[in-house]
Amino acid sequence: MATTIKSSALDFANIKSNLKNFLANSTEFADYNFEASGLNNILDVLAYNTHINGLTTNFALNESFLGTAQLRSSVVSLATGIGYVPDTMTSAKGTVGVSLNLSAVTDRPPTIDLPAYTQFTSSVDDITYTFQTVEKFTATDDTSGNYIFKTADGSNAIPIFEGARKTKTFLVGEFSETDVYIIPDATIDADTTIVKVFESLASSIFATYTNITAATTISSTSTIYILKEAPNGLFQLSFGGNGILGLSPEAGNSITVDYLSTKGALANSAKAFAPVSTLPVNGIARTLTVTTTAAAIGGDTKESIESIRRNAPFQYASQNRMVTPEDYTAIILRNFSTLINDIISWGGQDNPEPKFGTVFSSIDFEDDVTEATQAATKASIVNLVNQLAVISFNVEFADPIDVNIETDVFFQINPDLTPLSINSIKTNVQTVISNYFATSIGGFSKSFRRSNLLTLIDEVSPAVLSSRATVRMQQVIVPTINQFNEFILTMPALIALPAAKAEPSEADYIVKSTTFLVDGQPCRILNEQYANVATTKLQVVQSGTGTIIVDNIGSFSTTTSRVNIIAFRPTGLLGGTSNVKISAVPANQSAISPTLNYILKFDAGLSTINAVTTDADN
Amino acid sequence: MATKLSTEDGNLNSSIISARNKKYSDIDLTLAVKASGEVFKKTDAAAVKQAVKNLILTNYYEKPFSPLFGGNMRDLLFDLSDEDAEEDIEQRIISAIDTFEPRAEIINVFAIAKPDRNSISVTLEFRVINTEEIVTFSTVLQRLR
Repeated sequence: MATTIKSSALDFANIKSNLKNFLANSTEFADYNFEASGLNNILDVLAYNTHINGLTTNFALNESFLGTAQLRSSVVSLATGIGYVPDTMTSAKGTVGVSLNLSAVTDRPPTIDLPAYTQFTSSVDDITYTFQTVEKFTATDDTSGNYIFKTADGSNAIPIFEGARKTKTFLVGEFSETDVYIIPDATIDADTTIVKVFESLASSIFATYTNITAATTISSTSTIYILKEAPNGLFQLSFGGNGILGLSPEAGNSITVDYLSTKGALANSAKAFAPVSTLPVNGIARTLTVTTTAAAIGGDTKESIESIRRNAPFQYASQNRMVTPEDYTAIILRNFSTLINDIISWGGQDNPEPKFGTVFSSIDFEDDVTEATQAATKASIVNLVNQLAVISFNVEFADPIDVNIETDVFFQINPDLTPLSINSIKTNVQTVISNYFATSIGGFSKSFRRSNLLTLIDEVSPAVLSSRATVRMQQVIVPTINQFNEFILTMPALIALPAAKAEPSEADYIVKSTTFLVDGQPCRILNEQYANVATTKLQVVQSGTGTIIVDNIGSFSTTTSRVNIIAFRPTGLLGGTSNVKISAVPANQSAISPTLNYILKFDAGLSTINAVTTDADN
Repeated sequence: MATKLSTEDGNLNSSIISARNKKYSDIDLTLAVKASGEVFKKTDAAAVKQAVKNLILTNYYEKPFSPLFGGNMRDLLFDLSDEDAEEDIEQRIISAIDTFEPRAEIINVFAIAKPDRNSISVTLEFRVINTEEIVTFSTVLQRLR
């Protein structure tokens, strides 16, 4: 939420009081200040006038800055002023395989075109949505009569977009410097917009214009258009004008704007597509065969005010070029924001293994984005980088590394101070912990802070008198059964130094794993820890008996945060899982601040909540 | 309901026996201008009388940020003109003066309905605090059109 200028300094009573004090110093108006007096009425008018002027000025000033503006029209206008074009609504995009079988036909054409705006329907929650292609695709006879439509790059995945096709035509009048064309539709998807300028209303000769956001160079002869949100929420189309930002349509020309009017996010997850009509081939209607390659994703509403407020300055700073890591983040987000949950970029010099001349980006995709779409998006990003990045700089992608946080929470409770049962309080504590992790971590550079969590736990009930928590960092490995496996895990924070104790307990182990099977026996990986001895060596230890099955299976480092596991050969896993979880106690349990591509998450299954009753009442 | 403010009533200070040194003073709300260009001033009883009249003829929500200030007479505009209305008016005047005008002590309030004339005659007798002066204020409440 934006911070606004406080208006308490404009309080009516304060203003009036100041005016009263001013007049009270005049002997002429001694004793006037009773509510009913005439002068009091005049002061009311003066104070009210000052108050309203102050508030109006306050509002106007707030609306003048991107950080404090409240009205969407103000935020959009201010963002536009620094070259940022807020996202319009976005159509959900699905991909389908489209084919035609004419094996029984003798006079087959060598190729068949699937025209642009071929429609398909699909339902989400019993509501039918229309999807369509936005360009032409061609299929070639495979000599046996099977036609498979392909994209220009040879892929069988035909992209289709949700929305209703609309066309708006404008006739260009006499030239004026303020020629703007309003498209009266707030649901336009700008990415599907095609602007054509015809020589006249009846002419079929046209020039296709390009959105200025996609232009890499602009000259006096460029054919570009500017599409931006108008103050009333509709969209306005304009052109360069004066030959400075490219050509403008001339008087007598006609402009057609084709676009999809979309339902946005409502059509996401549509996955069964059916063609609306048949495809005529040599005058005979043929039925298309449609298979789903990927369900619809990426549909979204207009960019929110808060998103514009956050992204516009970064976009301005990046200036549509990719130089700093923040530029990479800003421009990738601008182009693929509907697919991305979070993103972070860093220079190769900051990588754990430095790689100069490379920028690393780690992208946390939305949950519904398929592997294929992720791969296609990364390929598109590489193309984008080739256009906008500094020469000789490459982009590489680093997958996000999930680090789960395990907590053992202990809180003291006096049951006499609450009508609730201890179990109810524990449930409430559990809810508070879940909410904390849901809202405070889960993205790049989002830190876990134990004190914040404990503060929330203390506030659950007056009966909760104190609380503490032990914290562990955990990563997941997926070993191959009956084979030797090797893993190197790097934790996002330094690992604690093991302390030797005369009688070590379960809590004294710094590194430990979940249970797996070795030759039918349940075992865990633990760091070496027995009477008065504690090392960073890792061992496979049989659960229950404590028998050491494998003496040295690796080690961990308290300086590099690495856990090396070598020659790990489990013969089975328990509980139907395919993985083993390795946890380590951080040296500083107060805070875990992930850097680079680490994302903290919460493992509720391996976390505990323990209530300790007490008689203390304060 | 007509609100007619008097022009300057004159300085009554000289005829008042009073222990107080500080006189009440107020601006004349007619904003009539003297030959010198200054606005007339009201003092003592005249100032209080103007304030009382102003108070009674002010309606709720008229005064900024003080919604319950005033006699709220307009609220009675479409009520029946009967004895209850007279009593209601008297109570409203007493309550308003008690609350907002500490310089006036009410002696008598009379509200007399005149249905044939579509008006209510109000007479208020009050003493200016700290003086022996008794001021009588009369007005007629009637619709403007």
